[in-house]
Amino acid sequence: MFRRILVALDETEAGRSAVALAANMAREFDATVWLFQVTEHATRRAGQSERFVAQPSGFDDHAVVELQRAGIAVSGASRTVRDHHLVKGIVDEAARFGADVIVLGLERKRIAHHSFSKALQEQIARVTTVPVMIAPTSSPSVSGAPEDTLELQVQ
Amino acid sequence: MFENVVVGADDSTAATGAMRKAIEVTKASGGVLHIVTAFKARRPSPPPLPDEFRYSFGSLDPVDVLLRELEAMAHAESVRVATHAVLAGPVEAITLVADQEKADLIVVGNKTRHGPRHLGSVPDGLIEKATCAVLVV
Repeated sequence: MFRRILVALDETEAGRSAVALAANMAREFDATVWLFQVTEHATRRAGQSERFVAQPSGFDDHAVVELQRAGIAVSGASRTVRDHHLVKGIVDEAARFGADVIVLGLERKRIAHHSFSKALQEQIARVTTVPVMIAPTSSPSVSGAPEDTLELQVQ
Repeated sequence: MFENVVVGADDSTAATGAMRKAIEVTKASGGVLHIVTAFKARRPSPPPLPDEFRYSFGSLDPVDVLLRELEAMAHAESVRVATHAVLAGPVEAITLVADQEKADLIVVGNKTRHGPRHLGSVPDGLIEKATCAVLVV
């Protein structure tokens, strides 16, 4: 079943929905969760070679706290990828982690360049053999909240 | 967690993969698996036949055969199952049953065409319209 869940986060409510779903799945299936917060960024200018912002964005504290409160083993990474390389970034991360499912959030009626829009989710499902779970727009909140937690290891 | 799981079924390889995953998830959750097959046209009336052959038609509808096979797959894994043959397009059929059964998960196959996986119109439509989680396998 699902034992290694990669949650790809954006910075929207859709990401929170994905976290809630992943948390419930992790409790149900005794799974390990890997948070992957990925931000697309580029500093290309006409006439310049490509140079990319290397500094990763910070973690979504809400995601970490929610998973930790549920007593779920969580670690993760935060990375910035070059413009239009979100799909590759997520798929590569899933392979590195050995994920058996990728959980994505989706704002179903919103198509935004820097969120996990519908188009992006389609692309991910096309290029990976790992099952892709698309969270509903409003997942139920995580039930149970033991306070013993694991420290998040940000790479 | 997943009390009602809906899986879209046809006779494709992708759908079979989705069915296997749906059985696995439903069994682990102890829920009910709803197998949905969409069809767009009623079968034609059987041709006039002598009485001794008239009942040879009616039980071999491909939709019924498919649902029975898939139901047997689920039963073999001791999964509670319900089947739904819906006169509609695939997306409409699956979302209709998902709404009726208050599904918390839809499982759908990702069509494979000549190597690279392509997202067909069904998963695409489900991602757009479903109100519950969607698992693309």
